[in-house]
Amino acid sequence: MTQLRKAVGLPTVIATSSGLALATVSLTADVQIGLGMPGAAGWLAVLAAGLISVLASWCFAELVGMFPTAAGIKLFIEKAFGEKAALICATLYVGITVLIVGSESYVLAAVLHYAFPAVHQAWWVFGFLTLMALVNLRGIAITGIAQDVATYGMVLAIGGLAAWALLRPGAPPIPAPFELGTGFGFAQAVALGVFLYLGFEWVTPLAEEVTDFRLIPKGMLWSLAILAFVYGALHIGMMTMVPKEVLAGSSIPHVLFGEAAFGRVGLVAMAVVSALASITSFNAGLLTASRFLYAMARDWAAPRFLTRLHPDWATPWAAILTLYGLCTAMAAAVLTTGAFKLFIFLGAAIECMIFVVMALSVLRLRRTMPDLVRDFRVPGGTLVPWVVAVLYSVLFVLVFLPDPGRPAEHGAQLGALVTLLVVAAVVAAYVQWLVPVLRKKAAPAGGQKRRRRPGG
Amino acid sequence: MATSTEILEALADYQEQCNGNARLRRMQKDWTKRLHFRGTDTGDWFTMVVVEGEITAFSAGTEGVPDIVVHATSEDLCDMFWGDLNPSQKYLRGEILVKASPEDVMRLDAITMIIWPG
Repeated sequence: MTQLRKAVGLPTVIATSSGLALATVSLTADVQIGLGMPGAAGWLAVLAAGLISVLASWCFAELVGMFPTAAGIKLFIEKAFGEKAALICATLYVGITVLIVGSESYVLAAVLHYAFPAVHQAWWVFGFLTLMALVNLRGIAITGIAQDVATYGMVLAIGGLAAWALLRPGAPPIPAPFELGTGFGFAQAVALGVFLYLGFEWVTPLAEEVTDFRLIPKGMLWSLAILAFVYGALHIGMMTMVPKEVLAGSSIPHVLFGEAAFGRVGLVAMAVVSALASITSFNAGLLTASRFLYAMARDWAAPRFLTRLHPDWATPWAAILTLYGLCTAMAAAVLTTGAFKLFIFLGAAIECMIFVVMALSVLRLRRTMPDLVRDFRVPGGTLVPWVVAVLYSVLFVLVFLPDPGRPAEHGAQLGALVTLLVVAAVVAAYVQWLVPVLRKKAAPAGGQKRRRRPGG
Repeated sequence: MATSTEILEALADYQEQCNGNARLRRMQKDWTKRLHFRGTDTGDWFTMVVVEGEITAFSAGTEGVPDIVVHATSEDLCDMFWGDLNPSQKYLRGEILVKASPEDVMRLDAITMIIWPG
C-alpha cells in the first residue's frame, strides 16, 4: 500500500474527533444533565456516558476497518441491512444533525449577544450561518493543523479555567460531588450525557487519510477521554460557581461560569471558546452534510440539482445553499420559540439510535461476512455489540421518559419525540416512494447511453 | 478483466477529454495532484499527474508519492476512464476505495461529472 503525501497522524485524529463533538450547544447541555441531581455529581453521568461511548467506538472501528471509506455509516448499514434501511438511517442521522445546527447557532448568538450586547442576537445568528456557508462554498475546510490548534486550544481553555476556578486558594467547596440522587435521575442524566459526545464518530472518514488504520480507534479513545475530562471539569465548575436556579433557565451557563469565576476576562474567554467550538463543529458538519447530499444526488437518491458544482471552486453549491436555507429556518424557529433544549434531547436520541444500528450492523456482518478482513475486531466476541445495542436502546427510551423531578423539561422531551417521529416518517416516505421515482428517471438515460469503451 | 494496455488506452482518452474541457480546466485550475490507481484484481498500478487541472502525464507503475490512491477492479478503472461508469455509485457501495482528503475525493468525482454529465 503506498503512503499518501499528506497522511494524517494521531494528534489530528484526536483533534478532529474531539473538535466535532465540542460544540457550543454541548457546553450548554453539559449543565442540563446534572439539573436533576442533588449537587455537582453530574460529572459522574458525563463519565459514565463517555465510558459506554468507548464500547460504541469499538463498533465503529470494526466497521471502518472492513470498509475504510468516507461513505461510512450509509455503507455499513447497506452491507448489513440493505440499501433502503441505509438510506433511511443515514438520512435521518444527517438530517437531525443539521436540525441541531439551529440550536447551535441560537446558543452561540446568545453567548455573543451577552458578551457584546450592542449587536442583536438575530444578527449574530444570520451572520454566523452566512459566514459558514460562504466558507464552505469557497471550499475552506478547517482540517489538519488548524483543527489541532482550535481543538487543543479549546480543551486547554475550558479545562484550565475550570481547574483553576476550583483549585485556586479560596475557591468555594464543590457541592455534593458524589451524591447521585434517584437511580432514574442518574440514568436519565447518562442518557442526556450521550449528547455531549455527539459527533466524535464523524472522525471515521479519516480512515481514508491516516498513516495507519489503528489510529482511528486509538484516536476515538483519546478523544472520549479528553471530552470526558473537559465536560466533567466544566460541569463541576458551573455547578460550584453559579446557583443552580440561574443555570436551569440559561442557554449560556458556561459563559455565566466564566464571568462568575474570572469576571469580564472569563466571560470573553468563554465567548471565544464558544465561537471556536461552533466554527469547527459547524464547518465540519456542513462539509459532511453537503457532500452527503451531493453523493445521494449523484446516486440518484436525491434531486439532481444537488449535484451542481461551483464553476471555480468545485464545491457542491446547490447542496450547501439548500442546507444553509434549512439551518437558517431552524435557527429562526429556535430564535422565535427559544426551544433550544428540545434539540439536546433530540441529539441524544439520534446518537443512541445510530449506536444501536452500528452495533446491530457489527453483529449482522459477523454472520453474513465472516471472512472479510477486519483491521480491528471488537474484543469479547459478540458480547460488546450486544451490550451496546441493549444499553443504547434503553438510553434512547430514557431520553423521552418524563422525570417527575424535572417537570420543566417535559415539553422539550415531547417536542423532541414528535420531531423525531415526524422527520423519521418524512424520510421513510421519501425513501419508499420518491427515491424509486428518481431512480426510474435515471434508468432510461443510462439505458440509452452509448458506451464509449471500444468493444464494450 | 481489463489488461494494462486497455487501461492505458482508456487513460489516454481520459486525458484528451479532461484537457479539452474548458469548464473542467477552469474548475480545477488550482488542483495539482499525483494520483495512483490500482487494479485490485490484476495488481497493476498506474500513475497520473495533474498540474493546475491539466493531466500532464500518465504511465503504468507507481511514480512519486501520491496525494490520492484509488483502488478498483481493472474493469471498473477502465469503464471509469472511458466515462461508462458513475464512480460515485461504486464509491458509495464500497466497490471503489479512495485514499484521499474529502476535497480530493470530491474533485475526482467532479471530473467525471463534468466531462460525462448524467
